[in-house]
Amino acid sequence: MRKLTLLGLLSFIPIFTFAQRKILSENLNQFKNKGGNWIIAGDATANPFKDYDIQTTPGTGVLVNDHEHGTYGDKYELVSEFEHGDLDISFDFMMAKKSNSGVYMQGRYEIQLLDSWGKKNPMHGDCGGIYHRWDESKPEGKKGYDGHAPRVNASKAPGLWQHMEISFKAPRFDDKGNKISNATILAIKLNDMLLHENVELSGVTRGAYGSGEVAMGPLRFQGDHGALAFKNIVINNFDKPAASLENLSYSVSYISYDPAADPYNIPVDETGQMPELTWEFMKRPNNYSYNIEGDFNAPADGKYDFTVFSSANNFLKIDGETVLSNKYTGPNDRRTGSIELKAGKHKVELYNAKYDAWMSPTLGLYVAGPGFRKKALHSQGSMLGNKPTDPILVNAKTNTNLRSFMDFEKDGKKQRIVHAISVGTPENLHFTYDLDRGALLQIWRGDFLDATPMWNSRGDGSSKPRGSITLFDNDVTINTSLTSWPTDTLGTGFRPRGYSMDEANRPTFLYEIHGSKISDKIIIKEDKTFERTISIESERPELAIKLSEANQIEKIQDGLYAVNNKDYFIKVNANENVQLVTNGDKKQLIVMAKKKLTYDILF
Amino acid sequence: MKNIKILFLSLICLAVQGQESPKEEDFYRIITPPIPEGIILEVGGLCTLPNGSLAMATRRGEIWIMENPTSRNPYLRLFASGLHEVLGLAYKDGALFCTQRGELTKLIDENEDGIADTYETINAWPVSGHYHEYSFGPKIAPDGNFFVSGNVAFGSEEWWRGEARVPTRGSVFKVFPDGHREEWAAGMRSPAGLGIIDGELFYTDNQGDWMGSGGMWHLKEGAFTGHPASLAWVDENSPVTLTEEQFYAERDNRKVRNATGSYIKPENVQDQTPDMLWQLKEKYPSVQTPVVWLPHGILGISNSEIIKDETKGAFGPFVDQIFIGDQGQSKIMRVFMEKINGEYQGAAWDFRSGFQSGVMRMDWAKDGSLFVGETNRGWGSAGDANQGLQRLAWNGQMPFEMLKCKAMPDGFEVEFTLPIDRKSAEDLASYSASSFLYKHHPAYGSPPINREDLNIKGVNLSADGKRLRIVLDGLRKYYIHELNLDGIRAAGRYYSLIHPTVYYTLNNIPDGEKMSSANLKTGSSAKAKPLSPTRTTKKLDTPDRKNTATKSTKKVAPTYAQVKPLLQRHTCLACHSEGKKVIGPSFVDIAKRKYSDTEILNLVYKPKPENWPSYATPMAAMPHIPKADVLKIASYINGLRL
Repeated sequence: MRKLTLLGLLSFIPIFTFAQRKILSENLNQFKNKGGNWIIAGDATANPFKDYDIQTTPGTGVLVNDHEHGTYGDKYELVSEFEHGDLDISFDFMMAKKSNSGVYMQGRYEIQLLDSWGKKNPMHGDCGGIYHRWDESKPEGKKGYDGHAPRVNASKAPGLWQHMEISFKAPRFDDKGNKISNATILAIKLNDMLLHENVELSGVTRGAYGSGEVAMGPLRFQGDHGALAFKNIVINNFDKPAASLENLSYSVSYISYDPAADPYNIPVDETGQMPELTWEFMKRPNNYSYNIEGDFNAPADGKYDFTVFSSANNFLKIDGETVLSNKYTGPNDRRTGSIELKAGKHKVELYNAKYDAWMSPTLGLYVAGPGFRKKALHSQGSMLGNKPTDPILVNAKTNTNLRSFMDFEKDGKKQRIVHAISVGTPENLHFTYDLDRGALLQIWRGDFLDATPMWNSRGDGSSKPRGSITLFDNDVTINTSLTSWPTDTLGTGFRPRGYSMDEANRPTFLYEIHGSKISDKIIIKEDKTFERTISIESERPELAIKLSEANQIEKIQDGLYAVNNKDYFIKVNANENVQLVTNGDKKQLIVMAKKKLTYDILF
Repeated sequence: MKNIKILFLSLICLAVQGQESPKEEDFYRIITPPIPEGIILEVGGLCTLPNGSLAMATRRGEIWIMENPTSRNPYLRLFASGLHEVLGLAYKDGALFCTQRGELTKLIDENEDGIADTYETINAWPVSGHYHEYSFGPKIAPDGNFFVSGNVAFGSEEWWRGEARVPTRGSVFKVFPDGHREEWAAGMRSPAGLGIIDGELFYTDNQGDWMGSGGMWHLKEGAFTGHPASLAWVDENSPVTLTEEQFYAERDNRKVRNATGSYIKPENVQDQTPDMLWQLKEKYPSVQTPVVWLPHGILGISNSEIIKDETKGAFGPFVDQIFIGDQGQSKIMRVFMEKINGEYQGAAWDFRSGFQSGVMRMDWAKDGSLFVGETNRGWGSAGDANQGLQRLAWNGQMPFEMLKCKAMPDGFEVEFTLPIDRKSAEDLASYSASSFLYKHHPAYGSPPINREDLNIKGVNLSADGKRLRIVLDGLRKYYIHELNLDGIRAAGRYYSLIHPTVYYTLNNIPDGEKMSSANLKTGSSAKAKPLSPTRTTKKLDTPDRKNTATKSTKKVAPTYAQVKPLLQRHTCLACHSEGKKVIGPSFVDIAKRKYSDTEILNLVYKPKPENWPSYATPMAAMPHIPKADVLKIASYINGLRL
């Protein structure tokens, strides 16, 4: 709908380092496409109920395959002019209903893109799967092999923007051209969920460019099996030498905790050199304070990301500048900080002081930088001996509910709701309901909950969702007027009444507000849609029900609304009395109350 | 003739001394019912239902019903789930009521399929989301309403200071079926155990800041029990009349910053004139001192559930007395309560130890045995497990114990379960007594203070040998009076008392007739008084290592039995045992480190937790223990070296 001007697009470009670049969706100059079915557009919309449907508006920023389903062939592919080896690629994509596409790494290894919305047990050919290989000589039905199904089905509904990240390592060859290591999918994430990790590829997948494997190959997008759209395609090449450490030395003081002492002025007990980065030069595991210094060799100009694991108080400085400030962390808490550096030698300084006997010391230092992947700079022994806690996971193989504190972040601020209930389903769709407000807090797709924070040791009373989360506005759902929606339940006569369970252990939430009894039930329909029914015990035509409040709400067709630039859909009956209200810089989707209102959330 | 008789009896005494007297486990057996693998019973609530089934609430938010709980094959059924860390369960009008972290919930099985279908919110109270804000209860008041209590949170910077960030924290409140709640009492820190006894509300609190030791309090409406956190929310509508201003006018909060602006954690100040809770009570009568102090480290470290013996004898001779659980020492204590001058006070003893995890909740089975629900909730406890459900049953044999201990105008009257041997009873060397108390200050816990030995003037044993009057000098109102009846023996069998020490909290000294000295026996077989901590002995073991080494072949280390009174008095046994790792290393393991006696002395005064990295709980410094006592204990420890 909106036209993105060139200027508007430029204002969204992040700062790139030398090796990272965005495939600008401004023109197709870097690609070949004989069929002409790939176009640049300003925006794309796909109706989730119409097969293969996609509509575009003119402009730039979005790459669309607008191919009529039914004709096939290589000419409909989009192939890059450049070639790549080790590569990270991330992009947003939107499938049309029933569409089928794929991303071929080096033109040879396909990651499937498919409308797999609602599929219970994903296979290699579902969205995010590593497509199978093909042996024509095998008998019928057994020609396909070595495909890898994603760990979970993380697909969203067609017509919604999804996000994928692929991390690829190319095969390695010796001087004579013999393959000495396989191509590897280091990781694939779809909508924040990890689908694959360190999967070795024995050879090219079906439909590759020939059967040979190469050190460098083009990037290729399938275009002959249905319409889809891409935006924000970012690639990162990793073919540059990595950073390194040398000339490491340490100085250490063995003291007990003294709050009166100046932490930077403690008498030194011992100094020395060490060939590798480790904490193991120490003579004892507690009541110490040390400084390690050394030379950090940056192979190129650019941004360097450092990740540190250290027990208790620690900081990291490069050339005297603080990259990670002095903070108290546990041995499994990683911290990451970045700094821009010029190529050459830089002074690295690591500090650690610990007076808690129950924590074992640890030292881990990782660095990622221009053209090279994250690598460990510490020795092998430096991070041994810190066992992570056994997680306590709650699964929803049958309908399962769990009350806990629930943390979320809104407008950059961390918040905790204290009377929350999370509802998990075997369809892998779950939600959290705020009993203090009668509000839907969040929905997510994936596994149910991680209850380690609540049930391990003394616990902190909270649990965490496992999957990709969409936050709602956690606001009072029912109000006496269309305007001036309240921020809390003060003055509304709100009283929580608990919930009742149906035969399948699904709750109906009960509360009172503005003198009426309300019941609110959310269930999963057709394995893929949230269906919410809000009932009011008596006729109250003056009450309004807020279905959504967001930065952006647009109408797709009667009864169908896309929220926050197609993050999710809300579907109501076409003849429902719906109002789209502007409230400051937010939009609200409101329905005037009736005794029973049912609507769907497509996610 | 007489001489031969005396000789004969003495010989028998000597002979029997070599045997062991019966212990707790010889009368009260711990039974562990079989629980299917995979069910985690960190029990937070226990309730026997009218049909005899046992309802159990757990930290994992589940309510289990155990059918046929006393049989060899109990059956577990999941009644409800998904609740938020339940810490109490009660049954009323055909439904179960449970206390979650933030809510009192009624669980109703509408369609009678054995599974709860309605989770009705009776009242949802505020919590700030801090991990320590547990809520306990409900207990059903005589008027049918519910009592609930709430833990304090702790400060962010001042992590040692309990605070009430929102209303209900650090207090006890009443919830009504129509859903509203009213304040009842304030001044709590960690009110983990509530109990209704004879229609009155009682609760236990845990040692911590402002709580010198755990204990059991009587909660009249408007009572204040010592911790100031909840006073932040007291207003003119509250039944609590003590205000924050009044409290801090009497007590120093010790919120002190150091040179860099950070708060300093208040620690115990040696050699100060201490404040005590009873002094606040004398100025403000709504302040309550405990019915019984449960001396920290001796009678528990983290007191929990209160329950009255209503089994009419099926659980043994302690009819109508009170049992209190402990989460840290995984044991149960016993309390005899009486009313003097209109206020409750009483005596406390150890009762039964050896549970597999911290004792949190208790309820009676229909057969008069006691179900014990256990969890240490991440804090470490004696025993091998982090959770459990066990059962304590009396085997019908009469244990030799003090049955009751009553206050008298001039001392105490102890009643025994069996007649005691007259000779040992009328020998004053069989007894020792002292009294002490705890500070009321913002530091964490308090060492025992103002300890005085009490002179025993004489005793009088009743004709049937079961009631003993002990007359003492130096009774002090409000103080804990410790009576050791180590020398008492059972008549005929010469057994020792299973629990020879009683702690009586003397909130009031009764009026009435003192015993005339004509009726008192005053003889004693001892030449000198037993070792007491109020005496400083000048010459004991020399700190000089050389001397100790050369004399080691001649010097005999004290035995465990000889140092046990010291280990108990100084609360070493809260964390250490001779051979077994408990919260701290065993004495045998400490002996392996080959510290000298002096090194042990220094380490007791200034512990070095880094010497024991696999132990989660650092040892608290104990500089108040007299040097002579520590050196005697050190000598005992070093005697354990192989």
